[in-house]
Amino acid sequence: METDSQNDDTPSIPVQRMPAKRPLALAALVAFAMVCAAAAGVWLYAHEPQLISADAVPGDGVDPNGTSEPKPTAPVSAQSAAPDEDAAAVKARLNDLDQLRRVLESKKSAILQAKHDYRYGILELEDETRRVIRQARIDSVGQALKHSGVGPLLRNIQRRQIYFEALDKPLEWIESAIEGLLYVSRRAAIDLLVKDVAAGVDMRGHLTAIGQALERHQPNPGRLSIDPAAVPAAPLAVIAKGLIEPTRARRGIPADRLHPEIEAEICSGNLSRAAELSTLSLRGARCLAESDAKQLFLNRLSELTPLGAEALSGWTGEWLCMNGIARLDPQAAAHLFAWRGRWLSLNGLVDLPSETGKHLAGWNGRQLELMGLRQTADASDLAKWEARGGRLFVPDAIRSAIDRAGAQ
Amino acid sequence: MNRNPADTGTKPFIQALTIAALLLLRVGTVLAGGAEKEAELNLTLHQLTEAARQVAARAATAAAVLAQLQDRSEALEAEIQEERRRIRAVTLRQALGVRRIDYNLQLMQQAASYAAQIESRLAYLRAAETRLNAYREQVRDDRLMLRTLDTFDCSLLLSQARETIEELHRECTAPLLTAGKGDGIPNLETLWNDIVQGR
Repeated sequence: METDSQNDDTPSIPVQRMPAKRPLALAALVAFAMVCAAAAGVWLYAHEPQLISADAVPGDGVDPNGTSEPKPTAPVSAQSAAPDEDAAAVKARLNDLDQLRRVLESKKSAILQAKHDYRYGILELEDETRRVIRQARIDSVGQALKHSGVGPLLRNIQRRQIYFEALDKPLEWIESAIEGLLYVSRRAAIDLLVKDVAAGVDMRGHLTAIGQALERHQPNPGRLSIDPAAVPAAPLAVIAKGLIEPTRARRGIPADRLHPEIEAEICSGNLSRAAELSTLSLRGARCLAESDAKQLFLNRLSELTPLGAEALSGWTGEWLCMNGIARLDPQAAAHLFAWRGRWLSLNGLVDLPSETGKHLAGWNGRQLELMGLRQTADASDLAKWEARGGRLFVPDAIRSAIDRAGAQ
Repeated sequence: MNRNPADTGTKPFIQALTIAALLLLRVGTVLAGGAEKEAELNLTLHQLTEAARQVAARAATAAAVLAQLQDRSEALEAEIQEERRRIRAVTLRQALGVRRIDYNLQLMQQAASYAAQIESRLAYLRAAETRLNAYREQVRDDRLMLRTLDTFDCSLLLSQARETIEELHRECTAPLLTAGKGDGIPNLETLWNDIVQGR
């Protein structure tokens, strides 16, 4: 079959040529689609790579540049050998340990206080015995033991010494118990500290050790008992000898400087002649400290021993006046400046050594008089005390030194 | 056998189209392969960042515990110094006669052993942080290279990084120390001499 144009040189276009154009169009469409798809893929890849990634990263954690700040993560839990319930049980038992330790500390304080009282009591008795020995002009141990006044005093000293020493046994047990409990507690505490990051921590072992320590260190009567009979007592002759020798050396002290009667009055509550004291025995100091007086004028006192100062430091009055003291022993100063009164007059003091000054700087009183002061090792101690708000009275030269120290 | 003139006109075109399609397919395949590698690098980078966070957290925990142990040790030593001055102890023998010193020395030994183990772990973790940073840098470099040359092979880096991540994960979840291990326990004489000399 031919068409009308068959005679033309141009080849005739068969009717069937129309289908030949269709694959071309289809191919063009397919090619276009493929190019579009490829272009879309390239674009997507360039801009949103995670959308076409086979292993898309979950969440928003990917920082392509890896520059984002690390986010806090939950702590990594380590494999712990110590179950939490054991650790909790150990913590609870540590409280029991602490409680027992507090009980023992309290007992220890009571024992130490008793020992302190006995020691002070011995010193008081020795003071008294020396006075009697001096008054009775006793020169030998034999005389002392036979003397009706000295004998009982010596026996009292001996008894207090025995009690004093007998307390060492329970004190030693308590100190050992406290240290033992503290050690067990601290050892467990160190393991509790590391338990979350450690293997092999034996919390059950700690529980056992704590249980044993609690049992072993209970202060029952058997463990705290004392046996005075088991303490070897110092022979009365030895005690007497120790008191007679120093008494001989002090025999030159004028009798008018010893004031047993005035001290006896003070101990009975009558302080009217306290200002006449030129020496102060331990008993006298203790009685003054126990008095209710608000002011004490002890201006005839020329020296203050550390023990005397220790006793006086317990006095609850407000104004202590000791203007006769020219020099203050550092140990005595340590006790005197621990006194909790408000007003202290030491106008006879001429020198303030460094160590004494350090103790003074820590005094909590409000007014301090040092009008006799001629020199001080370190004026800054006075400046420090004054800077805490106290009123200080000193000579002009010392004031200048304080101002210079304060300015520095 | 005569050929249809229409056939003779279409065939080269179809052939060209086929070639173009094949080329496009190849481009697509290569692109897809490159994309996969880059995605893998991104994932590894993410895992390295996570591992770095994990290591930093573990190191922080170790440092905190170590600081507390050191505080305790210093407190114990301060007590020993106080007791030493009080009793004027010079030799270890004299010192061991005081319970507080004896016990504190034992506790210091315990703390020192723990501290030594933690210090060792801390050093490892700090080195691990450096290693991870180096891997992260390398991953970024390789990713850039992959974008430039899609045939670039980064499989070795990926496997090494994966091994490191796994190792660090194991190490980060392992205990920092083992109680009762004898390592790092100073002997009492050394400990005492250090205390006396104030070292």
